[in-house]
Amino acid sequence: MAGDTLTGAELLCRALRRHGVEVVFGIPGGAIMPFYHALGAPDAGLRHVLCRHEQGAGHAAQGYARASGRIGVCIATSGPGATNLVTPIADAWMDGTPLLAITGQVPSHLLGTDAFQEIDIIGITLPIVKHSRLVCAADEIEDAVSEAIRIATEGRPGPVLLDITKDAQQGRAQSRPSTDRLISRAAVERSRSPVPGARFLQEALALLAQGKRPVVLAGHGVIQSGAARQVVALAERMDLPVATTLLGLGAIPQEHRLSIGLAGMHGSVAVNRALQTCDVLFSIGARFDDRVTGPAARFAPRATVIHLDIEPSQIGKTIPTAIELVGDARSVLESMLEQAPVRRDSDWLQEIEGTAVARGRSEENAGPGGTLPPREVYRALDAAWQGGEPVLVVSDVGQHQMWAAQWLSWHTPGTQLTSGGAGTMGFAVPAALGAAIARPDATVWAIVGDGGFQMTNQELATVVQEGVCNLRIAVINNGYLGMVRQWQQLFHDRRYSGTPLSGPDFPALARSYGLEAVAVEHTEELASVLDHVSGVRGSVLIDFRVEREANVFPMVPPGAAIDAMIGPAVEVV
Amino acid sequence: MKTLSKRTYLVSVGGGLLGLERVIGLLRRRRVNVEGFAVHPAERIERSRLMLTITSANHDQVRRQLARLIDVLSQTDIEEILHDEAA
Repeated sequence: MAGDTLTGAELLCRALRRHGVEVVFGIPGGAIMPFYHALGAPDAGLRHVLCRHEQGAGHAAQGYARASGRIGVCIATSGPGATNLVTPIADAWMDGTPLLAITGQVPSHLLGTDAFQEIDIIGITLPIVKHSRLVCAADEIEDAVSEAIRIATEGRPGPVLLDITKDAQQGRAQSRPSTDRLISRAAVERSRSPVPGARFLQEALALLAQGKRPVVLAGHGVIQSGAARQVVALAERMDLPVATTLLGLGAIPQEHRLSIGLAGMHGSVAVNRALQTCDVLFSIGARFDDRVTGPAARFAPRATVIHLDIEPSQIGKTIPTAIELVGDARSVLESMLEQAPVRRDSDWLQEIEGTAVARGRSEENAGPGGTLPPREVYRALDAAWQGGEPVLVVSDVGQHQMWAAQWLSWHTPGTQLTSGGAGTMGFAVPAALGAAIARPDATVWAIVGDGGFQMTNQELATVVQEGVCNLRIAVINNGYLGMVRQWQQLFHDRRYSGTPLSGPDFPALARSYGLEAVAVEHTEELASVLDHVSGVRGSVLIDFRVEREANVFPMVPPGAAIDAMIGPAVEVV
Repeated sequence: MKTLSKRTYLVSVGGGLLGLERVIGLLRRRRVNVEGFAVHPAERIERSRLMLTITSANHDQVRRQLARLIDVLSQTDIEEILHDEAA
């Protein structure tokens, strides 16, 4: 076969397949049509999921990536198709999701002429990609894909954009597949390999061993690295209490004696107090987001900080660090475990536990109950999920997201997907679609507010067209952009400006797409509805019409130190 | 707190104008105080040699951010070069 040439589009399909890509999410259009022509060939070997909006395709690819641990691929045409990918690219950048965005571009002879649907998507996305490349020739495509996938998946993962001109897709070139797989494999090895010198590991262990009040803060890096077991092992060896960030939930089973809970703006009082009074803080795969730290200068004022992260620029960015450990969390923790001394503690653990008991969990603090308090919805969901088949939870952004973080039981790493850093409303429905395709063995629950749902609900059509049966969509419907309304209530004189929100009859909307759907208005209905839903063979939407003005507590007011938390009965100082 | 200091770096940048745009964009968004930005051609096509003078309280962080850019091929503190030559 040597000497045969293929089109750039065919080479693109081949290169993706060679890197293990099986599913791509996208929408065709003028400048990407040659690729779709190749994709439609019987031997293309790639499943294409046609989304209803490129933003949906991007989030679906993110959900696929985070649920599978593999790269997610989304496809769009030039111009508006490409600009619609900006939000998922930004989201993937903030949360470190391996995402390959492929956009068609106008033919290279038209570049720079304001041609039809010519938009400089490379320029637009410069601040939110790990890398990007304009590909103008067919013979560059295979290399470009190899490089893009390597960059997107190594180190701290992230988005890479390939903008491929139409003539590059149509041109012909010989396939040169021999090197890229090797490059890719070597890169994966490299990204796993760096382990800090033994001296630093010993210093870190000595600090932890001598600490009177040590705390481990486990973040998304623990989940992505597959380091949860090592975190728990180190914690057990040294009696270290473990807090998690939002994206770190599941890094340690919630019921574990050393698990103390969620840190940050809507974390628990006990965790935030522990962070503020600890003497050694070991951050693993967390980047000290301001939603975790509050004002950096007032965060953990007594702590000597040990920071383990795969991305060196995350260390020392906002929080001064005494010991930096740059590397993959699992590899570094395994090295630490080889030498970690046994440390026993009871006073500090008891103190944290004492605060937790005295302040309670936040569950009864949500304010007015109405006929369907949100607390009851989450209680029922949590109960329904215990002991059954695997459940992945994809939450959107807002009150319902924080309630999910606070009220659901997180036992297993990787069972929660949410938009953390970017806080992208509209994430959940398409991301859950992608997760459901990646994990047909699991039931995927999207938990989404009525505001976020209305941003991307067109993907219900995709769910039905693709025959996705393992998706459950829980709309936590309170008729407000609830988190903004909560801030208005607490910090803006209760002026509900722009937050009351109407919507369609969600079950009727879902049924019109072909899903089964049901509404719940009373606590008493919860158990029977969830029981019924568990037996439905297709995807289902449940409209939980909850109390409208319930709040997320406890809460750190914006700008305050993280132990200055407020509840429903506390005035803001 | 660390104090402000001025340093000059020689940065080798690939990717042509796009690579330079990435560097400039990064410096702008991270609010780096740039006092000098001089671009010279390098021997190889699509490469530039950038002489970058910045004032910062956290040079480490600036260098780490620059290092995240795939198109930043190398960066050297000019003081280190002078020091090496003197030694």
